[in-house]
Amino acid sequence: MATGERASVGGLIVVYVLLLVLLAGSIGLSHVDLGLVSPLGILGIAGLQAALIMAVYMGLRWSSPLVRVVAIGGVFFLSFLVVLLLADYLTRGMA
Amino acid sequence: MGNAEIEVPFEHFESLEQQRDAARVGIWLFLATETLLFGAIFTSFGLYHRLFPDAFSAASRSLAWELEAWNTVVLLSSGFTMALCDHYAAELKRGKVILTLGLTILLGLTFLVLKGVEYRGDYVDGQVPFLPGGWHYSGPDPSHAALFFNFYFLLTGLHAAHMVIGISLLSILFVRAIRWRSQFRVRSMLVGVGLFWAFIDVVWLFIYSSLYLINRPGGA
Repeated sequence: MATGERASVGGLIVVYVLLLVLLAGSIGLSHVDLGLVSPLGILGIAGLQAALIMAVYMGLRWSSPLVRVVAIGGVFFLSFLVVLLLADYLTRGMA
Repeated sequence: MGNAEIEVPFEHFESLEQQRDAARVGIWLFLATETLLFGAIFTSFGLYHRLFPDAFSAASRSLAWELEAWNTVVLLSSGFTMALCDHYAAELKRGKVILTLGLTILLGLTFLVLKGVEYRGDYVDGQVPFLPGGWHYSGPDPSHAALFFNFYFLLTGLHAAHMVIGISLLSILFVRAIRWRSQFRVRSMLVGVGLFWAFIDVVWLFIYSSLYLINRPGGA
């Protein structure tokens, strides 16, 4: 899959096909009534696609630890924002 | 010039590796701020979706998900050609860099044209709450459906604006790749623009999933 510090052309093609298959899976899931599983599955697939793109297309798999920490830090700060915002909104009126 | 050019780091870096790492860290820091920008809008969207689930679900089902499925394929393809371009740039293969850059620009423009077609359809169907004559929505709870469509245009519009910026940067790189005066400069610029373009792909995948798909007939 890799040629030293980056993905090989074959690896990029495999990821591209995987992304399309996951997209098809996501669309398929949106047409099946599985209750909460459908929307959560669709968002989970989007997360998986994002992880694939970040790891291979954006080269995180071959990046230095410093670059990885900064990249994951962005997601980490987003999780702070989401969790603290939800902790406020979802607990209003509970006291 | 050409293949005789030797890449040396700028004077404030100890090595080329350190210089490239610094560039990557800078771009990722920028992308972290972009993540927070889009993340805040997504979070607000999620909260309002929870407050008005029926209005948001009905409004979501009126969007052109089939058209945007093809648009997603177009965008994923552009992400693939951009990754290929980055790969060939690292090998300093000028012809393949020009070809893949051109393809990426064409696919990006195709995405924007299809987006324009969808926006036109939204206007004809009366789903544009902020335009005069653009709002005659016939679904349930129009006032809260209008909120959904405001989120929809904010997210897709902001994404499209990023696409326009990305295509502009790619076009500058395309010209530079044709000139090929400094192959290493082209390569280092490509790394930054490539990361930005892949980020646009990632954002779109979440936009498509949350605005178009999770409320389809099978969705909750």
